[in-house]
Amino acid sequence: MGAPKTTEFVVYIDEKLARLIPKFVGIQMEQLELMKTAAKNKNYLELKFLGHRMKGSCGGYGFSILGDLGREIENAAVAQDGALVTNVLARLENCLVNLKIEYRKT
Amino acid sequence: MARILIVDDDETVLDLEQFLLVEAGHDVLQANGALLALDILALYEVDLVIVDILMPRFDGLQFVSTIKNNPTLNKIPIAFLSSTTEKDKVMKAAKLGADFYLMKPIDGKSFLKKISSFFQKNPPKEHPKIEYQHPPSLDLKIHHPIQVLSISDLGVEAVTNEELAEGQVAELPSSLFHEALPDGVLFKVLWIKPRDDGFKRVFLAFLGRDLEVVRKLQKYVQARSGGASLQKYSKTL
Repeated sequence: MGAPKTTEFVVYIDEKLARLIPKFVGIQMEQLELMKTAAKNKNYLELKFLGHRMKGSCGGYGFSILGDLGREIENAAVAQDGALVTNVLARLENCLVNLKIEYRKT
Repeated sequence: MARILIVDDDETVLDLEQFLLVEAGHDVLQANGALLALDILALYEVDLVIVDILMPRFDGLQFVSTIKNNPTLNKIPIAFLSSTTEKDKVMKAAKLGADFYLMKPIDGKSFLKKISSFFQKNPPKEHPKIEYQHPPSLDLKIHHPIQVLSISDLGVEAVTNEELAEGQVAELPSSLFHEALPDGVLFKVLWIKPRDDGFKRVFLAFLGRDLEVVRKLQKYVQARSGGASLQKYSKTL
């Protein structure tokens, strides 16, 4: 019996943006680490700011799934719901780790 | 072609805006914070400023309020870019006199359409091309000691005890950055702020904007400081 198949998160991106994407994804990984630290410290103000920032930046590149998770983090931080924050951060990490980017002409 | 200053604390938003605006034929200056944006406006005339509302320390509302209270800057058109749904902030932005709004996340087509429509009604001026070439002569060379605090696309903020004057042209020696900086990168001394300990805080604006050089310098300073020396200096400033 093999390991369970990992779900890939396929995102279709405008090929014109290709050169911006490695830096963009790297920054989102850094943001995730900042969010995890803020969650550990129960710093909901920082989490709200980071979630808000992710919500505002990701959709523009075509990563609406990340933008939606950013919105969920912002909302969970406003509610100061630690369990929900942990849950959303786990989903965000899973999404970032299993992100598959396909470039398309528009 | 218009010259547009984009102001946002999120580097990924700046990258996307710059990409879209340059593709549309505009000349773009960028600032990763409102204070730096004010420094840029002291150097360059622009046709439009696009500014995020929510930024740490000095936010977009404070930035626009500062501009609107400055007689030499208060005619600059302003567009707010924000995903904020907080009504009080949007109302305040309207009161401050924003010319139009752009929404985050950025939708490339509607973003450019709004800007194009603005410039149809408010044609941009002719600007002298920003000179990226080195000037023929130098007034000054800066030597040690100089402690670099931070590097942005526009220049270097540092602490030094060198005798400097605002407006002077300077060259930082490559030895200061252990090969990270090629010879001949020139800066203009934009501002000087004296400190209690006899040293001065200075901002050295790049005369050339070779982004590859800027990135190397940023990496160099980050690697060298590891955050520690910057924190140390931040506490003393």
